[in-house]
Amino acid sequence: MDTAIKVSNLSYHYQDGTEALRDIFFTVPRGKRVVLMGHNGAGKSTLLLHFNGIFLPQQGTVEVLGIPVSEENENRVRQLVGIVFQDPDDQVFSSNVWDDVAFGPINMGLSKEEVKNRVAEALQILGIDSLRNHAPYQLSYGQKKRVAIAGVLAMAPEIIIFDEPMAFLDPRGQESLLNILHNFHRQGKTLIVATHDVDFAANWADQVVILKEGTVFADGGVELLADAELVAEAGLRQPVITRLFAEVLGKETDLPVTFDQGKELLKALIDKHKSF
Amino acid sequence: MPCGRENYSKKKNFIHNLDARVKLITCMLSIVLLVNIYSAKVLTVAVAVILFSLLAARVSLKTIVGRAAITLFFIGGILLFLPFTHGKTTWVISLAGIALPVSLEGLVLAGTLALRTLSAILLMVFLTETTTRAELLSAIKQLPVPPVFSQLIDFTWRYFMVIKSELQRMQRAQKARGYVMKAYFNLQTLKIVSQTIGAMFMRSYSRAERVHWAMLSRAYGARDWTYKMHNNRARIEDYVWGISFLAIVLILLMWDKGGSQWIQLLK
Ligand SMILES: Nc1ncnc2c1ncn2[C@@H]1O[C@H](COP(=O)(O)OP(=O)(O)OP(=O)(O)O)[C@@H](O)[C@H]1O
Ligand SMILES: [Mg+2]
Repeated sequence: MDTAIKVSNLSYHYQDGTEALRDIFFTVPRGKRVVLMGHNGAGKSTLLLHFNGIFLPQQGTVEVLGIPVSEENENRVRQLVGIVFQDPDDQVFSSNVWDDVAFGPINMGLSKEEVKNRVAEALQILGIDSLRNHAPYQLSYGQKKRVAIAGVLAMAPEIIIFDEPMAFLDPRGQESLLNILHNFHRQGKTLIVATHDVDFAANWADQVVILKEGTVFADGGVELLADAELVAEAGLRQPVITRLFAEVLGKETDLPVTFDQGKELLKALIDKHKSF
Repeated sequence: MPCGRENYSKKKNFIHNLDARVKLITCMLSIVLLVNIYSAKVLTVAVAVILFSLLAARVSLKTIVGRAAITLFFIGGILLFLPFTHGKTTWVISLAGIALPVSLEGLVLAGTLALRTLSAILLMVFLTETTTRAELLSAIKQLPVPPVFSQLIDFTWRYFMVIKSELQRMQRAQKARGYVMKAYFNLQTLKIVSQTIGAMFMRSYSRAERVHWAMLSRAYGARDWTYKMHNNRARIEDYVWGISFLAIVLILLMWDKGGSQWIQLLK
């Protein structure tokens, strides 16, 4: 199996001495959906900035599709890894939407025609073609978020990283973001999402990496999130489905995590009840 | 100076629709030419022509006066001093026991300077009131200026907005916690204002850092920006307007430089 990202023994200190990351190890296979979880200040954002060489490893290594992230490789890595920042105001800076989405492709040195095609496609996929001439300050938060995602998508990165993508989006905005993520996954892109939303994580992810105080606290499938003790120690909580069945069934193991698992279990329970 | 309109509130008209690059170049060239005019008479005609264009573009008189007044206010001080400090004394007026020497030369100079400034300001008002900020910024980017220059404009604007919105958010939060500025100059106001400014710089700094990271993430700095993306052509009517406007300004300049004799010659 191909490896998208491989982090070994990574540590990072901020200039003021804050130890943000300590001895991080984990691997993300290609094409997977990964969530990165952890309490506020656990180090998620700091770790994400290592994936495209904004921060270079102070200790240990980060490899992207087999390429070590280093000063010489940073331009190559930045074309392979796109980051959608938490606050679209940090990212969207041009005087109009079209220019902003074109920013990455132009930096990549693509031909004029190619830039135009990429921008047109990205605007269309995110449903913001009608906003192409708008200035960022004329847009709502959700629209700016889409512009930010379009700007990354237009670079056609192999791996896309989202920092808290769901924050501040209304339910419909979250729904359409899920669709966008779904499409990216179908295209075979590797997706890494840093989030506090356990319900989203439980229903979406293939792999869950939980950070605590700058180190990897747990790494595995979504079933990790059903472990009451583990999530409590990591400063998280169980998904709603798990909590519901834990209370109703009065047990702590073999609980469902995803919506679908819950649905199946409920159906089975109802059937059993009927047959009596 | 305002940097273009936010957007068009009223209907667009012919002048709003003109190509922003043509408008920008025409206005800039006109300003360069106009400041070379010395006769108050010619300058008055120039001001009238620009005012007429402004009104034709349906810019309200209120906007024109408002914008022009703000800028004139700043040079007003210099103009006020000129009649008393420049040239030979023509009259002496006594005010509250103080004798003030007034010179006609200074008065005329102040008047000419005021008219010249006014014409330049009105041209800027014309440019910024009939062009949106986005159009103006992209016009600058499309002109043959080094990319560094246009990026600088983009960034300045971008960070100005960042600082402004940080400040607004902080003030809102202060108000929400019941803060009202009671007096401009007292210790409490001073303390809060200085803390606000300090916090604003820190916040703007960390935001600027994140903006920079986001730009690097999109391969910023990997290459020079070697070409410009938009190359929509200006239309015939854009050129016709630009050339006509410049022609009028040139005629005014020639008139000022004694061109009236040439007109006599033509007769
Ligand atoms: N610019 C900085 N300078 C110094 N320390 C920082 C800086 N940015 C973050 N830190 C510290 O590094 C640690 C990790 O922060 P990080 O932002 O990566 O956490 P996070 O998991 O993304 O948190 P959140 O869920 O709140 O977004 C925290 O202790 C934080 O205080
Ligand atoms: Mg974070």
